[in-house]
Amino acid sequence: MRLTLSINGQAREADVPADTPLLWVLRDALALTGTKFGCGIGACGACTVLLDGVATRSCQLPVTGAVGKPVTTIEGLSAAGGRRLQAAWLHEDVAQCGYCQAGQLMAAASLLARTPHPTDAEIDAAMAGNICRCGTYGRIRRAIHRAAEPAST
Amino acid sequence: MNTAAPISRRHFCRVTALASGALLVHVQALGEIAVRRRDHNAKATPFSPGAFVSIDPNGQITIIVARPEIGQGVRTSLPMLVAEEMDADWASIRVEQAEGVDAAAYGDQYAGGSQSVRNGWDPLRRAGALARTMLVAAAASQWGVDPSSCTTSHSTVHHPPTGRRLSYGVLTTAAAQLPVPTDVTLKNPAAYSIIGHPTRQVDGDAIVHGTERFGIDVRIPGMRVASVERAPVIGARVLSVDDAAARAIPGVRDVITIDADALPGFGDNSPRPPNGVAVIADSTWIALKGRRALRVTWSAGAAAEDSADRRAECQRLAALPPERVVRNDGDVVRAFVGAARTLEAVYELPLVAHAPMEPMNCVADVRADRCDIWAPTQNPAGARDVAARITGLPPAAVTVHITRSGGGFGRRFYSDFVGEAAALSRAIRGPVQVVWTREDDIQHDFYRPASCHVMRGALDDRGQIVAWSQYLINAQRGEFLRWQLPAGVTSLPAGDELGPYDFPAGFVPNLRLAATALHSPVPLGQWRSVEESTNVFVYQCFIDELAHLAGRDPLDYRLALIGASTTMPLEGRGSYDAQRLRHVFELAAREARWGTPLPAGMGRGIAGAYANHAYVAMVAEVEVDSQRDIHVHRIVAAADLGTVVNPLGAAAQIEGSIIFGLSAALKHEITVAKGRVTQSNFTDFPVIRMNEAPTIELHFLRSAGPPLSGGEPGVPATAPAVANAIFAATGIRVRRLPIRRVDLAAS
Repeated sequence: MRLTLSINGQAREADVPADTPLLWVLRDALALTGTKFGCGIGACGACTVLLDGVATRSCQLPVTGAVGKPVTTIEGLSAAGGRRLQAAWLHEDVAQCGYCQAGQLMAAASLLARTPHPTDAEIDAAMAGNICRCGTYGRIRRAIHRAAEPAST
Repeated sequence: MNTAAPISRRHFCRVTALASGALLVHVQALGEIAVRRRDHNAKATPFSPGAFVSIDPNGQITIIVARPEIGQGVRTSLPMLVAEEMDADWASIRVEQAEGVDAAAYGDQYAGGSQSVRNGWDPLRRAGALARTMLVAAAASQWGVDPSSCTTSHSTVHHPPTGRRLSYGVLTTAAAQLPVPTDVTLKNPAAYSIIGHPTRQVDGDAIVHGTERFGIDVRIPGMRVASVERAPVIGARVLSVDDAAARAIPGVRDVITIDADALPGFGDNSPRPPNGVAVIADSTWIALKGRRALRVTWSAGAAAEDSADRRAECQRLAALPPERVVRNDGDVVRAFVGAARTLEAVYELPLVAHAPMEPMNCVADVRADRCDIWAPTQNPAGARDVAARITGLPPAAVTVHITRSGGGFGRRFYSDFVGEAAALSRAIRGPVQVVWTREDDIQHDFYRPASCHVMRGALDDRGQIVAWSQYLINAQRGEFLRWQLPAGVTSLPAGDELGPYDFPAGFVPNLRLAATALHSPVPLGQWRSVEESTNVFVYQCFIDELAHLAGRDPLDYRLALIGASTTMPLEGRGSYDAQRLRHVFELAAREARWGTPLPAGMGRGIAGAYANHAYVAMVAEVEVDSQRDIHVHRIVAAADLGTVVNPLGAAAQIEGSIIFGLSAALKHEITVAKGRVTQSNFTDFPVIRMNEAPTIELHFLRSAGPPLSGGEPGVPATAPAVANAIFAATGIRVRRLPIRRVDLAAS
């Protein structure tokens, strides 16, 4: 079916089967490959995007569920207010292989939008759905705290 | 003091004229160095480059990385070696991935065995030094001064007496005309401004913006996507396929049976994919839907294979004499007879999967006269060879485009997924991307072998170890992988995965290591840190048991055994320094405040090893709560990795290895029932998550000398440190991984 999505502030058209998960529409139809496939069952978080500003597993969301709602992917994170978070990620040199990091960043962006100064426990709760096999959790935690610091530091 | 690094006669040295005026330095992994001018129009020369640096006349310095980036940081650490010795301005260098496989040019290109920095240390520094030497000579000649009166920094040659300077870019043409020096002078490490300095990864920006391209992100014109239904039972063959429903789905283009058993041989250490049926479609989702609509009838395969039966077989064999004695020092039997106290314990480890975050995938484009492969691979040469065999093309007609890999851990050393893509592209006469699901990944891996270890120890009346015996029973990966054997040897001898030089070998007068091999059809392979991941667990736990039996502190007991020993031979592989092992134990213990009190329910455990070419020890602080849930709060690690090229990257490797080791210690188990792998995704093959990740404190021992390793040596000590901490917390000795709450229920 032909449908129009709002991706990173732009109207994007796609012609895909209605049951296609948003993940595969992004990756295959719209060439937005920054959003990653990791498990296909919503268990790893690699496919996380923001739907209406909230972290959402795009592998579990049929594309029809995204129609009419703003979607932000990693490619649009800077423009959506994520520069500070991305800078913190770079400062802490978080990534190893980097494959899960788009999902981690989107989950962190969603957390900070609701909880600007999260505690460790709040970070755990928000980020436990995102697996990193390289084991970058300590640096992710530091980067989130860093991004939450007052801008003067 | 500077070190002279002579260039041997084997080094190729040639300079050819070139219009562009670029200077190119070639270095082979074997230590050979060559210099030539870049010539985009020329055919590759016989000595074409390994890792190399090119300097454009505009001053742009490009450093080529020939090894795959799998998250171990080689795209940063290897260029650092070149840039340091050439005094390149790090902030303005460009890093490029080598295109294709060329052993003559690049030497080995694989990522595995934690050796990229170690093996690149000499040739890559020499490449930088050679470039610097020639640039200095060019500047000195232009100025009419002695080269030794010149200095370099930030891609510029300076002449301090006169204050003159020239940037590298304007010197390339002149430098390339000069004779190649017969030796180069490497820097005094005290002068390093890049090596040893924390350096952020070069690809960080692309990663946080989602623009870094992994294998799965490759898109080429006309590319179809394939999803493959693979034999559910190990070794099963396709008997029949009803693909009518699949073909009826709009966007499904073809259905192709992959008769892997009939594919041309993959060769030594290169396992085939399972037999399968592929659905070729316009998109990944349609391919997945098509695959679900297939009805495939399979042959029985190895339907009798069962992990529980294997475990029972191990227990039966444990009571029988071993098939092969691998090491036999002193007289173990007599020592046991005369011992004051003895202990026997059986340790068991399961099969485990790699589960890198990026599922296996590969794009193949097979044409009549050539083949292009885009693959997240740890083994580009292996990928090329498999594609060549399947297509019937000469290896030189296959180009492997090495993409970034979303993790590797040993899984991507094998080229089964490349073989699938090549076979399918050949069949459909067009480009195709094979994309595995997570279920495919968990169920069709090459698993770390399961193993059973019968341990026996004997103490004298002062509690010292007088005899030590390890009897390993396992199916060996070398048998599954059909390793090439010496002439006249028909099967891989048992005990291949023993560590005959592992601690405490050499420290105990009577020591016997023996093994019996099982024969199983379960696919096996190397898994980050390989056999060290099992052996270190076993011997670092068992020595804890002996310390307890002797009534001694676990740290003191280890240090007493090491004593004043220094050089410990590793037959055929050099030696290790027992004092360096002592120092990492001491440093980890000191930083963890070993011996200070902890709250009730908490315990500290220590473990360490010389493993995977480096020295790592760690102390785990673990709580076992009233529900018997295990909480690893903190791990304090000490590492002697030799010279640390990039402290940020090396620390990431050790931190990551500890999390990786924790997943195996507490979570990972693959089982096979009726020939099928039981687990299928992160739900039943769980990994450590953020909320379970301990605080990790890492301390590097200041160490001169060449780099040792980084990618693997943090893994092995993790599980035993945690198991020993659980014992300290609860008095319960867990001898089977993964450690689960139920193991702590009965004491």
